[in-house]
Amino acid sequence: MTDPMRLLDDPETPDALRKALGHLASTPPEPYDVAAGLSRFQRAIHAPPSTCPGPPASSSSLARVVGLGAGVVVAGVVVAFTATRPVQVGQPTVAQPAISIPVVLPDRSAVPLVDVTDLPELPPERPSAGVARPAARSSEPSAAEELYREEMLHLANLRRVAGANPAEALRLAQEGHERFARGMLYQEREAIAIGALSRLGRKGEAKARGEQFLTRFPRSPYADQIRVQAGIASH
Amino acid sequence: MQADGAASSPDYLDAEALFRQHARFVAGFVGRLGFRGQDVDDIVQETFLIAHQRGGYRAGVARPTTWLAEIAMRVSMAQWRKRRRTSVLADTEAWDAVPSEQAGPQDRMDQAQTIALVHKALDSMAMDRRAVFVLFELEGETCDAIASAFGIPVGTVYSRLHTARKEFMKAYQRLTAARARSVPPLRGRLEP
Repeated sequence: MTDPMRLLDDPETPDALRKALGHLASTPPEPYDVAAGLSRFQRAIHAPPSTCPGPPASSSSLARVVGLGAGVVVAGVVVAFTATRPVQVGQPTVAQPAISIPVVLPDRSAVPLVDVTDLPELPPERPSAGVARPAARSSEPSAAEELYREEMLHLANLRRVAGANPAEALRLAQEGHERFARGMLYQEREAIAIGALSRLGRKGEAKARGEQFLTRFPRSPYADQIRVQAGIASH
Repeated sequence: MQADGAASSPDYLDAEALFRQHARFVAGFVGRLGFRGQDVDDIVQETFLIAHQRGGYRAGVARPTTWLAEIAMRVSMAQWRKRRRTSVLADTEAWDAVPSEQAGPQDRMDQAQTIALVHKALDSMAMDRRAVFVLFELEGETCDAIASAFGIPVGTVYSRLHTARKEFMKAYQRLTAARARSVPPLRGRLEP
């Protein structure tokens, strides 16, 4: 079986469309600054290794959504992702400053549920006789979705414990890092762990982990919070 | 451009060497999938971070570009689910994309409109089929190469491409008809 003729080579394709496809094929959609991208990439992969397992530095937007996912947990809402509203959350203890966290409860479908590396392979489609079939969507949660829910529940528990027992919070954060090594909420756990270290008086460790965190996730929504907790000066 | 030493040998490319050689390809591919601006940058970064996590590229069944395209497609799918929005090329961008020396105002406008319609038609397609369509029709990859990179039988690629083309043409024709109804011809407005 040989490949079909490309639309832009096919004389039966309307001229205007063929021209447009040819133009799109020969012109990049927009210029990409490879040097700037490489610099950002190198910073991410050459950041000092963390003492805890976790994903490499992620993009700011993805990390921000992870932060939003954590906000969902903070609000005690694990499965109802339907409304969008700001929530003021204050830390329950005196050792930490109250932090205003903009919590957005996004549409459920807008929350990435899994690390993309964990996404299942695309299901093979049987060759059809030219009839397009609508993609079936299972209502059963996938294993990855279940794991993400577990991770969110773990984080909810971690946040609850962190207010009263920083030592236990530190232990739980480490446990979460190990249990959800490829999970989505690493930044949230690590931010809590750094805060817990600070409150335990382990300022040096808090600062070291805070600096590692900021190197790996310079645009994290938790960056400012960590600078305050770990006593790291802003640039 | 190549990285030093074994990291850039033909059989193996580490993530940095991959980035140097193929970041522009990935950015272009992601752009053709319908992403713009910061989204493109973020998806490119995420793609190469995953390539780094996977230990870089090793020569095998897939070529580096299609191997990266498969990763980029998965990242894009995650990003797409997150956004749930369209990000098609605006007509003004399409206008800018057409070289001014290529044609007069009428032809340039026609082509810009067609390019915008192509983007909108692509935007209406499911991401997996859009990726196959873009790789085959715009990036010039063979079905064999796509099958190898995606780890699916070539028959599945043919099937997916067939469906993608039908979806694309249907959307394109619908959009063309809608535009013809809503936009009076430019000729006559520009020409005395």
